[in-house]
Amino acid sequence: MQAEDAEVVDGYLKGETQAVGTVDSWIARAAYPYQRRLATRWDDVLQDIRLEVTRLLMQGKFRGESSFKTYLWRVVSHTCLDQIRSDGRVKWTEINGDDPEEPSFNTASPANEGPGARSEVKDLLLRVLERVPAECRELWRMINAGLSYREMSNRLGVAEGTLRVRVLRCREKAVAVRAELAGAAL
Amino acid sequence: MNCQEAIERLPWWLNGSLEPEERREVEAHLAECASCREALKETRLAWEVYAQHVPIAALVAYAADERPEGSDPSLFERHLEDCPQCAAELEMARASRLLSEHNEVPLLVPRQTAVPARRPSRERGWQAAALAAGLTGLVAMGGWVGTVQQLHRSAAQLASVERETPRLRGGKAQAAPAAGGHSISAQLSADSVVRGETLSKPVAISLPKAGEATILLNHPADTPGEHAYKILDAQGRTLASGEGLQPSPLHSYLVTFDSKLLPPGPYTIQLSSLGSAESPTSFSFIVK
Repeated sequence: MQAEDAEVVDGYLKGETQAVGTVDSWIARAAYPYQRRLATRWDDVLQDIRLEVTRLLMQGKFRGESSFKTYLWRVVSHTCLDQIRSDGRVKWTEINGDDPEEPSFNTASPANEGPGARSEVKDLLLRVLERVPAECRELWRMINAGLSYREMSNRLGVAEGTLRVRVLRCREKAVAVRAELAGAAL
Repeated sequence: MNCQEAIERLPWWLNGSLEPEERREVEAHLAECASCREALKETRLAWEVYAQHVPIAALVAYAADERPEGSDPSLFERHLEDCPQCAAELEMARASRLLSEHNEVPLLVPRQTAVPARRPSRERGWQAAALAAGLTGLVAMGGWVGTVQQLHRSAAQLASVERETPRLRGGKAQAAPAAGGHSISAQLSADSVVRGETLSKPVAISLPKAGEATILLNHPADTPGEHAYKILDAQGRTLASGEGLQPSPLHSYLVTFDSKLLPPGPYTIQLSSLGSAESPTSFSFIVK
């Protein structure tokens, strides 16, 4: 680790004003391109970044393989992109299976971006995605974005019934390709 | 509602956009129809496929001109060509790296106030991201030429703000902190106030037993310019005050005072923008 970086890290962990200010200004530069996307909760995200930086430094995760500024950029980018994705992710409605006679309905996040998602599964799903028609990807992007079928129908200039059938075909296509590729992978 | 009608509506039932009456009809049908519940499982499988994106770690690796680990990079690259959301995120990461590594590249405009989201829609989100990425790309490709003088002025202003953020003692702005300065005792966020009622609970903090204490006030949605502060006790008496506070680029303010002024008990720091008619922002805390 470079001596200058070691000095800043040490000062930051001690809460020294100058070191905290230096790290804050580096975070500000790295975070700037993400700021507008995260504007409504910028304060929380900055606090998350500071906490993450402090946690990583206290655990000795920064070993000086890159400069401290570059390391901070990685932490900032990971944190901000993660927040942007979680902000934009529509939560799907789910049936609570505890009582099948009288289902209650709540929401849960799709599991595709969960920490336990394995890279093989991710690769498989991405392969399926590139095998389905581009029109299907476009239609489902709108669904994943939370658009209603009426909004989609107006936007695309297609009758609602036609649109619903097209989306159904795209669902069937994705499921079929997924089964095919998953079977081939076994 | 019959099975065909229910199955066709499942994607929009999942994304929560059905009208209440239609949603209730789908749910009533699902509660009674096992084959439609199977169709729902398939709809979720399809949703997972269509919601795929390049992992964040891979985007950061690409932005660092590195090869992503653990997966087939060509798969990611093909996805990046097709997905505006991932392309926009990669451009943001690249712009972030550029700003991080090159201090000579000025920030475009210092942001002063939070911009409320017009609508919590993912699609609107990636469209905005694509637009932002496009603009960023244009600026980057243009070598930051054209408005560079204005940009340098902005950067100089920011630098001076950072350099001259004053410490306050006894109501007067003092010089910038000396090298190696002293510790920040606490960071406070503004109280959450709705219709005059404070919802957030005051934070309990510890101050040094003697000497100066410094508190960092985080206030990202604040107005620009000079600020004044007052530290009030529970009876509303002013124990310390000062002017000349300037926000840091991260919209935080350093307030320094004699720790003996604040024995254990509840206090409020009121931060107000000079020349603004807006009410002061309160930061409540309890000294342990």
